[in-house]
Amino acid sequence: MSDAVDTELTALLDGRLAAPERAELFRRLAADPSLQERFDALAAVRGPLDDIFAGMLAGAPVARMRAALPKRAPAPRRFARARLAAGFVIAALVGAALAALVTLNIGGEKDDWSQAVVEYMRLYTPETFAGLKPDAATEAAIVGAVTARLGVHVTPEKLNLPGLAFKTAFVLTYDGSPLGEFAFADAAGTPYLFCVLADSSAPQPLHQEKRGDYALATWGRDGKQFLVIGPSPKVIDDWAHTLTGGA
Amino acid sequence: MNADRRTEVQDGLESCLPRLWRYALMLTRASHDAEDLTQATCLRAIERADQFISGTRLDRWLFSILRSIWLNQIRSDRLREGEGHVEAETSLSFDGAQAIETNILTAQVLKKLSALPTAQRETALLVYAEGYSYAEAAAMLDIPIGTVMSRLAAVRAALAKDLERKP
Repeated sequence: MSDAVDTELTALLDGRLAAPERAELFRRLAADPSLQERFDALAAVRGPLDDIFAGMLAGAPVARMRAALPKRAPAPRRFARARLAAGFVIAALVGAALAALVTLNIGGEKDDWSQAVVEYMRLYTPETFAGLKPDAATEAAIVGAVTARLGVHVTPEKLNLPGLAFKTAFVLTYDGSPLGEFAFADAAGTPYLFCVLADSSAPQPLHQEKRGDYALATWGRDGKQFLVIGPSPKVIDDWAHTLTGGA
Repeated sequence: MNADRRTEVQDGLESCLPRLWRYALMLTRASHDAEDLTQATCLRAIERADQFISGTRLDRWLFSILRSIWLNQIRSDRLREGEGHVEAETSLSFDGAQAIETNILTAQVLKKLSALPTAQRETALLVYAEGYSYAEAAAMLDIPIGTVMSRLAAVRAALAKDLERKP
């Protein structure tokens, strides 16, 4: 594969292609097994990379570095944190404005985020996440990092459904908003996704549907949209009810 | 010096330490060098706390300081030769690496990551670990967005090469 193809596939994997380019690449992937194979190969490195980055955080000599910081008087922590939180909001707004100026983000115009997830899902095969078997500590570190960026409170225990194994999680961008993907696989390696779009949208009741080969469940609360997707309607139904806290 | 701003920087510094160290590790590839670079960054940030603009992201300001110190070190001691220079004999080492390396796939990727040029490792860290958008990474690294894209593609291609992906 050429460098240009790798760059295109990487932008797709990173969620940085605009809707028309994304749709065109999805069409080419569907028609070209060797392109799909390259997509799988490039996709496969993200999980181990995330494991390594999480492992580095866990291995940081924090106590030693903290001890070496200059001593200071007790700080007005709550005040400082409030200001810092305001800073994050401002930075997020500036970031959104910047994102709107470049053509490389997903979207460009509003389209259905669940359909974008379906399109990504079609590309994921058992091969995509093969070999990823993070231990509990790594899973907690990855889930913690991704949920922190999305502003959601989800623990690995809450996410897990019997029969589905956690594989990896990462954050894409959809229409300027963070889109978190948590990838799982059943015993046969078939991928399932739990996705969160942090776009400050209105609450939505649980809705289930079938789209092509996939069952989907969507709901919205606390300014986030949630989605679970996979081939088995039974698994999706169970998972959605577990995650929404229903019976 | 504005005491409030110094307090704000010192408050925020502690929670950023692991991420600063990880960035430093990706640049230096050695745990103790990363620790030194992180410490230098903290001291410089406290010295220059009055330059921090309240309401902006402290973590990104700290990352800029860390990068600036790193680049100055390269220029002054001439031990390294800048972007693109590969020191294949050095591998990324840190406490906890053994735990990661129990997964064969991850161990393979860590080894390949060590051998990547600094510029590629740094770009991968900013985008994949820190969540910078392509535009934000380009601004931080002072390079075109296209270069960010080609570096990330090169990272994925290099890490994927000959990777054993069977379960």
